[in-house]
Amino acid sequence: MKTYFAVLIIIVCLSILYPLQKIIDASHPPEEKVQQFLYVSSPTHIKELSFGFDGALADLYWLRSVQYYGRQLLNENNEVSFSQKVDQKLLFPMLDITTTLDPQYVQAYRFGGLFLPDYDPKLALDLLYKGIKENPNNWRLYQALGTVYWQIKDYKKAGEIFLKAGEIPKSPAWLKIIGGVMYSQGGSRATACQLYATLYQEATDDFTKGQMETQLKRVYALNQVDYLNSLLERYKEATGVCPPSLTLLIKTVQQNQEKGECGEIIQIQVNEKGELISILGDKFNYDPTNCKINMPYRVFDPLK
Amino acid sequence: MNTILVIAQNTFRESVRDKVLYNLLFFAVLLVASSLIIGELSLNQEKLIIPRMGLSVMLFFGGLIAIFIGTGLVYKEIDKRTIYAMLAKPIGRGEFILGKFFGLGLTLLVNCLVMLSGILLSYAILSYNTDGSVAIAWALIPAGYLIFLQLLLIVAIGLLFSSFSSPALSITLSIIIYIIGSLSKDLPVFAQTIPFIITKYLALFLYYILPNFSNFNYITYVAQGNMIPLNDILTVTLYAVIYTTLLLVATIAIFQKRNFK
Repeated sequence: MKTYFAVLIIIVCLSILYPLQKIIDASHPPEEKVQQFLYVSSPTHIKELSFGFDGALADLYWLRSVQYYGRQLLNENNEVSFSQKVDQKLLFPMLDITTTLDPQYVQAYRFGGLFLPDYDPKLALDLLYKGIKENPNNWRLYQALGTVYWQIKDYKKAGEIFLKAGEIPKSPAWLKIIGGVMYSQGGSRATACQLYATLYQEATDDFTKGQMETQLKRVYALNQVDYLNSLLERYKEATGVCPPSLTLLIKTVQQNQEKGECGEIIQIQVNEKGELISILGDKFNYDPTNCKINMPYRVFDPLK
Repeated sequence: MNTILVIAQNTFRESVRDKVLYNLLFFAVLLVASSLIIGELSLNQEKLIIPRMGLSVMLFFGGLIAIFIGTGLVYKEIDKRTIYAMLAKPIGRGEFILGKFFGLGLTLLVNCLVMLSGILLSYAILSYNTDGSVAIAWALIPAGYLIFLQLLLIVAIGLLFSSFSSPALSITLSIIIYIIGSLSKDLPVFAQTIPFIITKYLALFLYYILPNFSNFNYITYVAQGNMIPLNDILTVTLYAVIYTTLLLVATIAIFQKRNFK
């Protein structure tokens, strides 16, 4: 091959590359996130340094996020326990990295939306807004966002979000119903039960199902405490004194047909020692001096 | 043309003899193990993870083969002095380079086809329903094809460097070009923030002149269930053909001037 011919081919190829790259860029624009990278931001840093392996890295960070959260749920017997408080300070950065590497990782946004509010609701909101920006037609992200607003007691905003979710094509009709309920009775336990029951049914993995079941049980436990307190009040009104222990209530409790705020029949179990135990398996902490049941230690009111 | 085919066949046979395709065994084990455990670890995201991991591993192993073998293709012949016997025959230096390129290209094609079949099979097994239906992830095929084009471009880069430098230097330069090519998509944004006009245009010049590997990267996109638009496939194919031609012509031009004495 003559040198001048080679040079000619090279020049022709180079001159074609420019318009060709322009065409590719038009359908595949360079990402604007680079500016964030220039001003230092850890997830974008990782994306820049992934050299085309961003998808695989997103998966690795997703696995790490799940394992990190899951490990914290293990109790002293190495069993998964959904009713313990966990330290989640690394959960947001991990999910943030996962979703920066793959902005369509809807499960990662939803995971953060479900579990970050216990730690810092603002982080959950940040993650979900990021997800909605990237996936504006995904109603599940709006559902998660509405749930976070409900948890921070912004019922008006939660209602707006659920109604907005209901307007997305192919979204289920119940989103609008929940939106309406949020407006009218956002702070009620019935709403909490409805929301958790929906999330439980929607969950595709045991992990989320377990967590939602625990949340539901927490609300039921609150109903149990209220029911027992009403019995204690009635006992005091009838006798003028507080019962020395809860064992006096066992018979009444076992025959109960009263319903809680979520429409469930309140059933309280008795353990082998003859003590009343909550739906979460804890013994009720009765204070005979003021005739009141204190909350079982594992129950923290999701509405408070 | 016949000469190029013979050299290509021999290059392919040589890589089979060198047990290059053994990486497929490792890939198969990795894929089976992943299929078994990823589902448990990832909260039912295995249908997303398996294609993505699979295609990424395909790019990774293919890239290793392209760089480490591609850069040694010419040097090995010179080192073993077999090039003298070859060039003494009526074989042009251009034919020699093209034969080597297509030979390694064939090895990479086999590699990619086997790996892609493995990924599709794993995906089909994962999506097997009780009613007997399975889902085939067709979207992965064009993504695999674009990875193959990317690997051919890497081979051409390796060949170019090996036509005038040692294997160690060729490997280093090829890796550097791969890194720069993966990051070059940021150059236009970088250019926007630079106040100096010369630097600004230099950044843009480098953007258009350097290989842009992000053009080929659709792994995450297809793993999410999206199909690559036909127009994108065609333009990226054209890009790969033009860039590879450019590199091969440059390689042949340099190689023809090379003195083996």
